[in-house]
Amino acid sequence: MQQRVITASRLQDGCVVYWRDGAWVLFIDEATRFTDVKKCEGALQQAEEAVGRQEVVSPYWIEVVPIGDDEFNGGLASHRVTSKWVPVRYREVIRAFGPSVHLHFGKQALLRKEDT
Amino acid sequence: MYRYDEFDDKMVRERARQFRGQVARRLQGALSEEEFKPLRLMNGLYLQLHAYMLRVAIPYGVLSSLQLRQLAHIADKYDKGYGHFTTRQNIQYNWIKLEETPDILEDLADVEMHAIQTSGNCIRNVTADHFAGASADEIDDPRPYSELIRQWSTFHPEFSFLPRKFKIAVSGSAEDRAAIKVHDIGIGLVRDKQNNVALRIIVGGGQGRTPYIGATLHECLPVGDMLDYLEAILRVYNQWGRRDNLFKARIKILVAHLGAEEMKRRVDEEWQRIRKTSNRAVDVDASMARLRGYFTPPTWAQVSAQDSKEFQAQCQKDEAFSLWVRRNVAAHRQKGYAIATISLKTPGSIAGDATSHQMRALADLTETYAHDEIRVSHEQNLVWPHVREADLYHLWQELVGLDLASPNNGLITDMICCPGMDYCALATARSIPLAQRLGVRFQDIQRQNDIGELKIKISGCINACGHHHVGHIGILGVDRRGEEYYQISLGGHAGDDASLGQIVGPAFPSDKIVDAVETIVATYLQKRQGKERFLDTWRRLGNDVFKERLYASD
Repeated sequence: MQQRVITASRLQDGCVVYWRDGAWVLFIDEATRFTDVKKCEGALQQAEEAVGRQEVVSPYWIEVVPIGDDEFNGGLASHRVTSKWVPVRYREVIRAFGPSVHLHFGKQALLRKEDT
Repeated sequence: MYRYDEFDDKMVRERARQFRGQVARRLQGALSEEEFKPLRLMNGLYLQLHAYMLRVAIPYGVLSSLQLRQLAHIADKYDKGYGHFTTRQNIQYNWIKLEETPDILEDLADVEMHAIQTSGNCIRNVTADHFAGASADEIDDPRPYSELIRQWSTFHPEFSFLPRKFKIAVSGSAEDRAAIKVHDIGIGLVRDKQNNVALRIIVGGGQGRTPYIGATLHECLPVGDMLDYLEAILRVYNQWGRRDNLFKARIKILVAHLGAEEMKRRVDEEWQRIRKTSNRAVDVDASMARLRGYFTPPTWAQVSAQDSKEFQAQCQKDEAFSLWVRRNVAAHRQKGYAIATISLKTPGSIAGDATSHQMRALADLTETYAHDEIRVSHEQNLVWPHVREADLYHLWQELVGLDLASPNNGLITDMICCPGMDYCALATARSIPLAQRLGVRFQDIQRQNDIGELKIKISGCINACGHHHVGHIGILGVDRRGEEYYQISLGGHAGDDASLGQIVGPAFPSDKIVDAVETIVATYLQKRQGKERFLDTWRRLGNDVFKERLYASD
């Protein structure tokens, strides 16, 4: 089932961050997920206020789906990370985990699923 | 090489100091993102998918060993230990922090470098033939011309807010190695009837979503008129170029709209007006004479007959070295010297990427063996313009140790490839993984040599940073309902006989695109006649035979 999370780029270093109950977190699994569109829009308004506080740039919402181990090995083989939720759009997958061509760069380095 | 004078030095240091203040005000909230964005872009700083990206200018692609070492230092201190050389002869760092950028600009200023003119709607970093001052077929050295244009255009008040970005390239040889026909202005150095050097001015070329081959506005412009004429072109563009539509704002759209004849009439009219004024900004001839002093040839070493014999013997003794010499070494104008291309396209690697370790090692070799000069080519390779033939064997062995000795210059694995969706906020598909897969598929060097000259160019979106419009095989990544697809065009070329590729048919899904390229190559090998290159065969046959094979099973 698709849900929404709010994401932005951190002002100081451009790092991808996610909205969680009024603050920003690094990992998509830790983000507040919205099933209610109105609640998401309300949270996005709050997130936009963080722009004025010099916390982030350009917040917006994205769709995420839960991902099981079976799916994991297919859909996210390019990143080899452990994550319970992944973005629907591949562009957001790359933002969430890092470049698919440098697996030791980006958040994937901290979320690495060991090769088996 | 050009060396900064007191004005250059003051300019880049003041720029770094100014940006430090702007960053501080942004972080404190005195500047909004809307206000700050044009300021950071004027300093080459973009916000990409994972972090900020800093694009550093390498004017006309020329670096000293000191500068290359500093680029390695920046890669280690502020990034993740590598940099990416681009098709604009720049270098990009992908993991930059906003708050550290002013420090980077100061480190760059220490070695006479900066990030000015690498973004924004200004005249961008001037590019030139990477064999400048070395190639045997050179009419004149394009570097003094490029440097004069750099000095004239930097912070030019009239041309700092153009309708859109503006790219100038200069070629000094009969063979165009700077892709001058697909730039906003391309300058080719030619000889006039009196055998003086003159300028062929090509305007309105470009790639992006609406590609054009440029139109020649002047076949033989006297060098002394160069800046007046460029000023006239830019003034016409500034006045008549569209500002209401981002996608129609480049000069190529204006030239296409007016037609080359009317564009020339307007430019000539403006040029004559400028010539009549008494306050022409720069005495070009005097400036060129001054600048030529910075680009005098190095002091050539004595070359003995024994040196030449040894070089020939090394070629005969070592087949791998011989292969590299045949592909990556070009004729130098000075007897006993050579131009060596350092491939940043080891099959399976990332095109244009160099680690800080590689950069430092190359800097050391450049200082010791290459008259302290190394170049960045628009094809994302590095070049030693002046090396003794007698040193080539040792240099090649060093390159082997650095994994930079692929003998693939101009071959199928020597691909241009943009960063694509792995880094770029504009991209619609990944390009690097595709280039890697193609590199692995075609890595056999015997096979590459059998295929011969074949240039694949890959872009991850319609903006065409990967030059796919002028690839013999051009590949454009597109997003189709969330899936990566790749559209192929054939027959593009960036040289003297430039041409734009023609789309061959519907795009291929990611898992079919490498096989599709294989089919194209197999078709070429089957159809080529005699010593035809891929481009020759395609120009003889067109798209149909390739299309038939590619979509045969549909």
